[in-house]
Amino acid sequence: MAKKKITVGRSMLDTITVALYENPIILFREYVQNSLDAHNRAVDEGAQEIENIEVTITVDETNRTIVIKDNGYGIPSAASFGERMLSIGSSGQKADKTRYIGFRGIGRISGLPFCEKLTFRNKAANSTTVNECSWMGKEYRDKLSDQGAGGDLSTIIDEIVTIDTKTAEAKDKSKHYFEVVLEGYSDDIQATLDDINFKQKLIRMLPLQYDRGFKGATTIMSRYKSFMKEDIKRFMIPVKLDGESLCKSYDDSFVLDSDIIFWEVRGKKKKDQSPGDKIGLLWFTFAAHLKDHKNDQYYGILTRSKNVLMGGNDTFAQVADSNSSYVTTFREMTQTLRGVYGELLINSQHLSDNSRRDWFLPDDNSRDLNNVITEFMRRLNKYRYSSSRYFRKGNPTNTKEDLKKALDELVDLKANAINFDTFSKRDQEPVKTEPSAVSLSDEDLPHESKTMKKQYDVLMKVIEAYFLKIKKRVLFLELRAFIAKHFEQK
Amino acid sequence: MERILLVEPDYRNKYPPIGLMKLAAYHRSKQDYVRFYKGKAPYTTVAKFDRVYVTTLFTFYYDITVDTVRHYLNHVHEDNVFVGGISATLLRNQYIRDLKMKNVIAGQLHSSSALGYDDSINIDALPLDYDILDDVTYDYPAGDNIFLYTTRGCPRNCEFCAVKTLEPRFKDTNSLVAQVAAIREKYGDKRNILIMDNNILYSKQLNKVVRDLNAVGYVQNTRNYGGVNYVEVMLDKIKRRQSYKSDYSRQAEELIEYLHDFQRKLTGKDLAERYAELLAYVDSAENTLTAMNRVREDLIEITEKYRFKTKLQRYVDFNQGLDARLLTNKKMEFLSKIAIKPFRLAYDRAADEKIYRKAFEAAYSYGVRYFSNYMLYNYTDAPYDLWKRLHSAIRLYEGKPDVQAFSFPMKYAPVDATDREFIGEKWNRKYLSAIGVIINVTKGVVAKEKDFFYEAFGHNKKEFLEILTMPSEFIRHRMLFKEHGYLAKWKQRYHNLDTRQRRLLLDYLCGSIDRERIRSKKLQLIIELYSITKHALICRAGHQ
Repeated sequence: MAKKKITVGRSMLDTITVALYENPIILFREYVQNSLDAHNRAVDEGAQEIENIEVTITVDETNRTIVIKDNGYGIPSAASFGERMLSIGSSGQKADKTRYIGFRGIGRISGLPFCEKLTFRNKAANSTTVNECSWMGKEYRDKLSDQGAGGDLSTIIDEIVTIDTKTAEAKDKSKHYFEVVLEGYSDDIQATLDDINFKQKLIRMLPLQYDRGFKGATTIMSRYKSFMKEDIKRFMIPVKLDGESLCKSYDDSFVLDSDIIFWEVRGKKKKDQSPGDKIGLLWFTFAAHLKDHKNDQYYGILTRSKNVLMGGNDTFAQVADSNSSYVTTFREMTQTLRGVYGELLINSQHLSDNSRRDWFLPDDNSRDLNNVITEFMRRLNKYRYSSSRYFRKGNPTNTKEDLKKALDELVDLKANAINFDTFSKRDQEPVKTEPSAVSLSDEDLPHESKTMKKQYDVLMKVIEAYFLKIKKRVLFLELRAFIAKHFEQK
Repeated sequence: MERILLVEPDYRNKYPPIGLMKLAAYHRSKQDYVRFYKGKAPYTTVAKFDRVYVTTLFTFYYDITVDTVRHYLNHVHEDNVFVGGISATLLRNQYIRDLKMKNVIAGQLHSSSALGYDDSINIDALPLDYDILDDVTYDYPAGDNIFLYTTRGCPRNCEFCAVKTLEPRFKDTNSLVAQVAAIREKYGDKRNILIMDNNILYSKQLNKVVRDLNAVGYVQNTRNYGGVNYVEVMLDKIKRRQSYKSDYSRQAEELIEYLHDFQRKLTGKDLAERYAELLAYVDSAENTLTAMNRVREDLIEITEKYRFKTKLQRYVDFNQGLDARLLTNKKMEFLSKIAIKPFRLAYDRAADEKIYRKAFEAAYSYGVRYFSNYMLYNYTDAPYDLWKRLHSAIRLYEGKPDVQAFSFPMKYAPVDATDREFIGEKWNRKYLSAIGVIINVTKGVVAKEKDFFYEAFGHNKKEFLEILTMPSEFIRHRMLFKEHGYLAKWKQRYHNLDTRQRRLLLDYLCGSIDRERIRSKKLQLIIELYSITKHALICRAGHQ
C-alpha cells in the first residue's frame, strides 16, 4: 500500500496560536510554567534543586520588548535545543500529567502572534555557547495573510525560523538560563500592559507562592500535603516583574469569620465503596453575614490546576449554572461568590485541561468535579440566603437554628470546631476595619467630605497606576505629600 | 463495618419512615454505623458513607424524590444507592428509567438478599429503630407512637387503592405482645399505638389482637399510662447514641435545658437546695454528660417526685381505617374492650349510606366517641355525591353531643400519578379548587357542627354547586364579602344568567375558553367579580 501523503496546512499554526491564545496575557503563563516544568523535570532526572530558582519578567516599553528569563538549567545540548524548539504539539511531558503543568507543547509559540520576533535563548552551565532560535512573527503573519501562498506547516516553519549558536562571553561560562524575548510586541500586548489591573491579573494567573505575610498559607499547604500526598511547592515558582516579586496577594486580612475551611474534593465513590479518586483541596473563608462586598481581584473561588489558574472568579457559578441540577440564577451565584475567598487546588490525572485552560474536558471525571462544585454553590448560596435573613436589621426572619443548619451543611461545625455562638452574634457592627483597608483619602485628606474622599480615591488610583507604569513611584508619593500638605493648610 | 446513610426526601410528612427504621435495625444488628438524614446531605457528609438508602412515599412527590436520589447518585456509585418504599414500588419502571439505576426495590424487604447480603434476614419483620429519628431536627407529628402491623395486605381489590400492589397477599404477621414489650424495654413507654393494618377486620385473629392489646395495657376505660421520666429516657437515649457513635450533643443540650427549667417546679426547701447543688455540680463539671450520669439516680429521684404522673387512657388507632362492610356487632364487641381513637371509617360513595350508618351505630353503641371519616371524591362520584355524604354524616351525629367527629374529603388521584392534577369524569377544575378552598379554611377537616356545614357547603345541591362556582376569595372570606354586599351582588348577577351562560361561565373558570370569546355583557359583569381580592376589597372599603 502506498504511503498516504498527509498535508498539514499553514492555517493550522494560526489555529493553535491565535485561537488558543487570543488574550495575550496568557503568554506569560505559558512561559513561566515552561520554566517551572523544565526545572522540575531536571530535578526529577537527578539534577540538584536550584535554591534561588526564579523567573524574571522585564518589560521595556520604549523598545517594545519583553524578556522572560529563568535561571534554570536550560537545555543541555545544541542538538536537543534545536529539536525542542522546532517541535510543536509534542511536549514530551505526557508521561505523568500530575507531575508537570504543560503537556501539549504548543505554549512555546504563544507569543508568536503578538510580536515581530520571538527569540528563545538558551545557555547551559559550563557551556561556551548560547543557543538561539528565532521565529519571525512578522513574516509569519505576512505568509498567513497571503492568500495565494501554498505550502504545508513544516515549509512555513522552515521559512520563518532561524537557529543559531553564539559564543558566550567567557565570564558567563558558569551561568545557565533560558530566556524568551518578544521584540516589537503588538498593540494588543501594549493594551494588556496598560490595563490598570495587569499586575493583579498576572498574579492571579501564575503558579506563584503565597505571600510570606499570609499565615493561613502554612495551614493550606500542610493540609494540601496531607490530603494530596504531594507538596504544592512543586508548582510554585518565584516570579519578578520588573524587579518586583510577585506573590499570591492573600494576607491575613482575607481570612474572615469562618477562618479557613477545607473540603477534600474527590470523584464519585466507587462501586467497591472505596473513596473516589482525589481531585483536589478546596479552601475557603467567608464572613458570618455573607454579603457581596468583595470587589478586589480575589473574590470567589479560584480554581487552580497544578497551581495555574483555570477560568476566573465566577467559574464556580458558571459550572453550577451549566449543571443539570438547578441551584439558583447565575446572577445570584456570582453575587454569592463575592462574599468568599478561596482556592480549589486541583491535581488529578483523571482530569484533562481543555486547550484554553479555562476548564476541563467534559467526561465522567470532570462531571464528578462539577457535581461537587454545584453542591458547594448550593450550600454556599443557601447559607448566604439564610444569613441575610438572620442578620437583617430590624426584622430578622430566620432563627439561629435555621442559620446553624445552613452553616453546618456548608462547613460541618463539629469537624471544623466552629463556635457557633460567636459566629452568629448579631451585634458585630460596626465591622472592624482592617489596617490594610485604610484608603489614600483617609491618609491624605482625613477631614474632607465622604464624596470628596471617594472621588479622590478613584482619581488617585489612576494616577498611581500611571506613576507605577513609568516607574516613578517616588514621584507619586511626593505628589501625595504635596496634596496632603495643601489640604492641611487649607 | 459499613457506613449506612438512610435518607427521606425533604417533603413534609406526618409519619416517620418505618422502612428506614427497620433498615436501621438491620444494619445496627450488624454493628454498622447508621445515620438518618432528611433531604440532601451535604457532599462532605455523603462522602463518608458506603451505602445510601432513599425511601419514597407519595407518587405525587415524584419530582422531589428523583431530585434527592440524583443528588446521592452524583457522589456515590449507583450500585451503592438503593431506592425503595411506596412510590418506588408503584412507579418502579419510571424511577429506573429516569434515574438510570438498577437498585429500585419494589415491595417489602422479606430478605436481605435483595440488598446483596447473604444473611437472609427478613428485614420487614424487624423491630423499628426509633433512635434514627433523633438524627434529624424534623419533628414527625406522629413520631412518638408505637407502630406495628398485625396483618399485611387486603383481600379487596379496589381500583383506587395501592395496597393490592404494595402488599399483594393478606397474611398475619409477628407477635404484638413481644414487639410492644421490646419497644418499651428499649425506648421507654409510649402512650398510644398505631396499628397500620390495611384491613384488620378480615383477620381471623382479631379477637387475639384485642386480647394482646389488653395484655399490654390497652384497655377501654382504664387509665394506666403514667408517662415516663424524661431524665431517665434521655440519659438512656444518649447512652445508646454513644454506643452507636452517633452525635448526641443536641440531646445533651436539651436535657440540660430541661433540668434547668425543672428547677422552677421544686417547692420543698430541702429538695430545692439539694437539686440546686446537683445542678451546680453538673454545670461546673468539665464533662457535663459524665457529671449527669454520676448523679443520675439523684436526678431521676427528684424529677420523678415532681413530674406530671396523672394516669391517662391509652388509645389504639387503626390508622388505615376499619372496613365498615365488615364491622359486625360481634367484632364491635371485641373491639369495645380497647379504647379506639379516632375510629376511622371510610364513606366513599353516597350509595354506601346504609353501610356507613350501620357501622357508625354499632361503634357508637359500643361506646366509641371519636370518629374520623374518609370520603373519596373526584373518582367516579359526582360533586353532589360528596355533599350528600357529608350531610348524612352530620345528620347522623345530630342529638349525640358526646360524639367528636371529623370528615376528611380525600381527593382521588390514580395510584401511579406523579402529580395531583387528576380531574374525575364528573368533576371540573373549578369545583375541585373550590372544595380545596373550603376545606383548607379548616385544615382539611369538616367538623360535625350543622350550622358550620350549611354555611360552608350550602343547604342543598343548588346552593352547594353555587358555592363551588363562586370566586375563591368569596368562598375563603365569606363573611367579609357578605358584609360588603359583594356576595349578594354575585348572586344577583349569577341568577341573571341562563343555563347556557352558566355553563359558559364555568368553562371560562375552568380555563377551557378564553376571555375574548365571552361577549355577553351579563357574563362580563360577573367575571369582573372574580378578580376582586380580599386586599382590594379592604382598600376599596377604606376609600369609601
